[in-house]
Amino acid sequence: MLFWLGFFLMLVGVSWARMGPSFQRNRYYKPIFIIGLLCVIGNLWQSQDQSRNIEELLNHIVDFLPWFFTGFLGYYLVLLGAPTYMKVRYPPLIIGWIIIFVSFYLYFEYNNHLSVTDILVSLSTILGISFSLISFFFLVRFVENRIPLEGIAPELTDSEKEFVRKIISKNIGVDEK
Amino acid sequence: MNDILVQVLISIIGGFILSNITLIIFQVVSYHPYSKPIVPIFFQSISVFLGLVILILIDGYEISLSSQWVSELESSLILGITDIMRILPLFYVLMLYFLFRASTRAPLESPILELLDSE
Repeated sequence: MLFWLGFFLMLVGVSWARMGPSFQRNRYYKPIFIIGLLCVIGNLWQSQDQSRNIEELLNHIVDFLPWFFTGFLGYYLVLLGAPTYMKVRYPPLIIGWIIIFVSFYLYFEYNNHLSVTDILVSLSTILGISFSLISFFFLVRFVENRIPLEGIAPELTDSEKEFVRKIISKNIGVDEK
Repeated sequence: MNDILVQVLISIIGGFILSNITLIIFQVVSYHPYSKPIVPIFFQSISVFLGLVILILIDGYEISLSSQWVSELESSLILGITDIMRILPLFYVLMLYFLFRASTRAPLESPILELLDSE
């Protein structure tokens, strides 16, 4: 149960993060996500009262986390050292690539029980996910297309015009005097 | 039916259900006055239900109120998460190509960036 609570809270956190700062809920996405993550991680040490399915999933997570976090760190360091915008920075670049190779070692170390067939079968999940996303896209488009168009917006009032003028002046650095 | 084909079908449905449940939760918790989530949530709930029906039939049970709905839902979500964790290394390797290109290319020439470097 703790796992699913954590999973739900992580989804809530991601959803609120996606909402953008104009919504008050957006402020709480980090704590909610972290609480969810802690619930999932906490469940790894909770050996009692687990269903067999959850136990299998937790075993997969235990196999997944070492190479994933190592690889993530390697990617981060390589991007930090890569000459994308600045000059190349060799220490993070080289350390990043070494860590990436270590993550490959960890992957094979922890996932040697996986066969090619397992991975090929798992690949088919992309079809299910794609089908779900495409149907969602069409459902949203269907709903949005049914909303009647609103009339022409009324002209800005004097106070609104003044407000806009102030914002533009501030952004282009023109003195308001 | 061939065992592997059954596994593929179960994986497809697992990914489908996981993705739909994720989208339903996303629409519910990020509700705001301008969103219109009722129709998508309704159809997504129906499709999740149909997915569960197929899974229950594949497992050889009969469809009834006493069927293992919650257990099947849990299994399909777990399968979806597991499958994503299994295929993530493939994307990881794919990304390495772009990472390699990013770490070997010459830096962009820009007078503004040069100014930053000289500081």
